[in-house]
Amino acid sequence: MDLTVVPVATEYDPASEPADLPSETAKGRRMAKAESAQSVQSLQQAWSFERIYDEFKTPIYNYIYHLVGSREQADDLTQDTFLKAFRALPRMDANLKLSAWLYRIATNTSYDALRRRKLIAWMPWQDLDHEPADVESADPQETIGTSELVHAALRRMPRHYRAALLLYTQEGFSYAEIASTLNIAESGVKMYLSRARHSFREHYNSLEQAGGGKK
Amino acid sequence: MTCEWAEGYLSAYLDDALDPQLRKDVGAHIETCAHCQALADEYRRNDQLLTTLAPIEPSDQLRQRIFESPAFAALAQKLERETAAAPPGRVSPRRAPLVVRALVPLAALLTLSLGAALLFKQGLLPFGATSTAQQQTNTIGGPGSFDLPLSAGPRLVFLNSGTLWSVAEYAPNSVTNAPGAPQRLTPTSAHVVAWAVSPQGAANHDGGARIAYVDGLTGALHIAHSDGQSDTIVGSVSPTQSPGADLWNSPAGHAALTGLTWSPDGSQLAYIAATADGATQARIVSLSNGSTLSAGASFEAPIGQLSWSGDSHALAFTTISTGETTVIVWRSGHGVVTTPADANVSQATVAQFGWSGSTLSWTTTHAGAIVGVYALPGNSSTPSQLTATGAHYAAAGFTTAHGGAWLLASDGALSEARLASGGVNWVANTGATASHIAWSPNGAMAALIIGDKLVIWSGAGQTTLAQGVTGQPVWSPSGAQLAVTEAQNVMIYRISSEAATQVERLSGGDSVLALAWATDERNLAILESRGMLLVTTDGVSQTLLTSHQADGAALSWSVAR
Repeated sequence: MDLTVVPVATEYDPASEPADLPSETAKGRRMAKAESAQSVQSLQQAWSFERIYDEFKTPIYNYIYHLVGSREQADDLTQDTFLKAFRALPRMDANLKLSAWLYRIATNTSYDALRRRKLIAWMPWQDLDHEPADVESADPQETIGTSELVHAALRRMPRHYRAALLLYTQEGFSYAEIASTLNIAESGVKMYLSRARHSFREHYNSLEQAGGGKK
Repeated sequence: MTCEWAEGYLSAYLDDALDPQLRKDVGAHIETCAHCQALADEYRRNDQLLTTLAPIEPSDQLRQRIFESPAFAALAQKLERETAAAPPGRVSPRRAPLVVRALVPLAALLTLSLGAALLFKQGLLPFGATSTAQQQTNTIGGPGSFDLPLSAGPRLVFLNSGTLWSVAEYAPNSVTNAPGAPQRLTPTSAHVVAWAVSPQGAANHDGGARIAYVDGLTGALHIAHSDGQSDTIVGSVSPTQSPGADLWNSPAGHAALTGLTWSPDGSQLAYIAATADGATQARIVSLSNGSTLSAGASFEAPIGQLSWSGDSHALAFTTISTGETTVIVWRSGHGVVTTPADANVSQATVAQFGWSGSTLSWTTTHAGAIVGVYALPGNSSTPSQLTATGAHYAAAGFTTAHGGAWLLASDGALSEARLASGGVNWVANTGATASHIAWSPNGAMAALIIGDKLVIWSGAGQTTLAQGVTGQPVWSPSGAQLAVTEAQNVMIYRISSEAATQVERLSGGDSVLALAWATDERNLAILESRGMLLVTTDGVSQTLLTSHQADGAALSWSVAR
């Protein structure tokens, strides 16, 4: 099904091409920020849901995956994120900056899931064994290469710092974009990133030592 | 300027996010400090590690999952409707058009005996050397028992390994509204093979607070309070005090396991007793005076499908002999009426009973189709057929609303047979034919399964809620919510009078076997193949009560008082 969404009070223009797609590298995107003023244009065109999905699926999926640390859960939450976005999109203002908005939904959806996961309680069952709770952190002994160490270090970080660091490094967001996505002040972004780098470094180094440099 | 001071600004310095003077000062420190320089290098390297982390491609199945999801289909439909309804070139966020009558939640809130009469598959006992045990104790205790009485309030009841367990919906003294731990309701000496919770609405008779169960080791029929106290033997379903596999594997023994049926007012318990000559008999225990009476003679062929009238004055059941089903109706003070279930299709069996006042109605089924709908008024001994002879239906559902009505599905349409008016009237076209019909508790609407779609029908219209549905929908007691299994998830739809629906996905676990709503609708019990889950219906928390599967697929809520 190829559904087309026409934003409120705008004309449907099938010839227009969408803008504001993630560019190839993080740096490239930060550099290209000047062009992002054109993103206003994006919603004045018809976006097909499938088009949006295809453009954003990989960065959003990876962002969520790094936030929650499980591919299975990332599947679920990516699905939730896009469905929430699709439902809300027809009601959104024409000035919407699609990518920051999608990341915001992804962030909130992932935070919800992380919060929920903490609430899962495993009750004792008389005389019967029961499965252990889902342990979030990975075993350092299982980490083999650098990217696994990076994943494991991310997983050990406080989630807000993790989100800020991912948005800055992986997604190439500016401080202003991070502030808008995480719904915090720009000065807060400075603090988040500072603590995030500190936290990442600590966990990464300790994992590297614990893993015995199995690279 | 210390390293500690500089480290605080290092991150922003690297991002070029400091004002010029501060940037200069921090830069000057770093240039002269090997420690801070190393730290800056490390931060840069770590940033690089994160920036160059190879992305993972989401699977193609994910795309499929999204675009073939019920939620997406619902959105697509909504947008299509809005596009059709809006002036050209413009979309307005209008509400979905289905308008259903305002619900009457309070009346239905009182009835929450759920799923009690689902499947009792636990018929076969692990009989061995201990099968001669003859415990007639009415004390609950022994190893693994908990303090009695159990705390008051709503409790989930389920059977596991021959023991009835109960879990407080809210643990006493819990500030987070977390459920309690499973607590034993039945003694270790008993092996429960059948059980039923008294109806919630019957406040005058401790409704919802009594649990009837059969101990498979003795055949004794017990009634206990759901706080675990006052366990009393009120009868026996077995001709001997030490029934063995011979009985439970016999047709009469099987019948006895399916018989426990509380009257709607909670004043009487009907059960099926196996007799010494291999026959079966329907018996009724009165809770007010403890007496037991027989509802008719004993039947050589096993009886089943016990069904009380709404006023608790009459009991219907069936027996199948040489392939022909007979309907037996016992009326308090008026004796017994027997009649063939289907005068036209002799091999047809009864699919479902429905009562409206003193009128008994039923559907008959043969070769996978509903072949007849009958009504037997209280003063009559001959049923009348509501449907045309030869008519076939794929599904039927009964509601006591509208004076008693059957909703029938056939040939891509719904029709309705009202007991009061007789005859069958077309009510709606559904495209494909529904395979399952579940009226909402107040009869204002019905949930239909059409193919793998979940469709809500009301007098005002119909709307598709979901696709990919794999289980049957379960209405909440008030009718304001609907739970249904979609693949491995349990979805909750909130259905308001404007049909605005909100979806909550509750479980990503294993295959779902049964669902049961709590009285207050704030929790849903989900029996999965991996165990029993209690989830809050806002999706915020879930508790795995047991990682072991319950026996059979029955679970029920009771209220300890």
